[in-house]
Amino acid sequence: MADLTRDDVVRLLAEGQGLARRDLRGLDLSGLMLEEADLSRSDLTGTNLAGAKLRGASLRNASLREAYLVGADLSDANLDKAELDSANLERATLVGANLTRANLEGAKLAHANLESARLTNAELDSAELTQAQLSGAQLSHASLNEAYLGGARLAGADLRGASLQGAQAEEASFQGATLDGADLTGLLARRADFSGASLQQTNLTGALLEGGRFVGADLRRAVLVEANLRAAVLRGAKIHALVATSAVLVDVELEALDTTASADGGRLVSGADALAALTGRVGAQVLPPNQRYFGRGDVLRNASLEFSEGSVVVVESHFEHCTIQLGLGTELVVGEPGLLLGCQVSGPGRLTVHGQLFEDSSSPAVRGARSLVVSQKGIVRATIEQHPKGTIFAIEPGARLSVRITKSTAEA
Amino acid sequence: MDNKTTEMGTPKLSIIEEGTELRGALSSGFPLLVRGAVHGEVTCPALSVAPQGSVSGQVRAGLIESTGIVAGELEAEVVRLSGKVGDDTVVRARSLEVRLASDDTMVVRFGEARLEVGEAPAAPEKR
Repeated sequence: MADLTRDDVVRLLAEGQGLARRDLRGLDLSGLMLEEADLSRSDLTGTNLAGAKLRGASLRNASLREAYLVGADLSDANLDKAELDSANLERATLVGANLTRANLEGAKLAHANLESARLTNAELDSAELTQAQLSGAQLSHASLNEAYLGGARLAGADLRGASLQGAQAEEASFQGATLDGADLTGLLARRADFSGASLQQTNLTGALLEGGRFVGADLRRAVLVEANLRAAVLRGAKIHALVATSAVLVDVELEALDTTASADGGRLVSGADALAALTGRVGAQVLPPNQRYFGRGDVLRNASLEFSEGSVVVVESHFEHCTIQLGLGTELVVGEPGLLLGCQVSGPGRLTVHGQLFEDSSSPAVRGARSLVVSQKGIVRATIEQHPKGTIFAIEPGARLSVRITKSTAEA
Repeated sequence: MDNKTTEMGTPKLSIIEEGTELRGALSSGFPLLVRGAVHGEVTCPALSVAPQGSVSGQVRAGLIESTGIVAGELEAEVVRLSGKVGDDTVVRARSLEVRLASDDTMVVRFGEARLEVGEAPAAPEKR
């Protein structure tokens, strides 16, 4: 039980005393004026703070589990590392609040105003954020798995590297937001608006994006495998090296898609050509001249292949004992059904493995790659000799590896 | 209060602070945060190596999360790596996560290392 009463708290505040490290569990502090108060490390578990004025208060490391903060004003409050799991913050004002590394798992934040709040590395799994205002919020590397973001406003928010696996974001607005490298696997976002957003290297595998708006969005190197984009609007989107294998692309508005690596508008495609560029299912006359696609079911043995600088190569076939030379910046994507068996891949390209890469007697299987990305379904059993300046690695949970990494034998 | 939390309800944590160097065997029932240097055997439920921290030797933990330097034999259910992985390192884990930086720079720098992650992949049959 708390060691203070509401009256004690009022008296201490009147005397100008702080409330840090106090046991305030279960108290009714609703409507109290607590602006700039020091409540750091205090225990406010289950405390009623409805309508409390906590503007600029310090709540660092405070425990606010299951606290009732409906309509509270926490503008510019410091909630760094605060425990807010299962807290009720509906309609609370958290404008400019510092929630870095805060635990908001299962918290109720419907209609809360979190404009420009700092939520870097915050835990928001299963949080309820219906129509929450998150414009300009810093959410990089935050965890929002299975969070509910229906109708939430995230315009200009920073979601780089954030995880939104299985989150629901129907009719949410991500206009101008940055979602580079975010994991949006299985995101349910019907009629969501991603116009002007940056989604480079974002994983949208299996996402439901029906009726979504991606006007001018940057989807370069995004993964949209098995995503549903029915009736989505991709006007002016940048799609270089986007992977959309098995995606639903019915009734999609495809106009002036930019296929250049630098997104400089140097090559725009529309309609059927754009659809072909997205799916990679057609010949060279519609694919960008530097893109190569090896389809499912094909088998290539003992071949020697060389791909020039800046090419994009998607392999969904089986390559056995082939020698593959990659030019500078060449992208080699081994799709989910793809297999490289006993092949040798060399050169300063970028290798992404959604399928399988197996070494046999020819080692190393990969020599000098600038980057190696193994997605959650990727399987790699190989020796990787790094690039002279080191290889950039990215490995998603779920990848299966038996990998030996060695330093470059070439001159740096 | 249970024996895993402090009076304030926050999880207990063992911390090797910056400037502290520890050699030998370290076994803890609580999560371990290393800001200093540890050389030897480490056993704990969760190991977190801060950017200024380093751990070398044999590590067994449920979770290993490093933004500093790790080297040696790391065995865990889940491993999340950034920072630096030293030479002669072996990582055995059910799940490994190495994130790609949004600006395409290197998040983790590997020396000579071996990664054994997930169920051992068996070679497919040739067609």
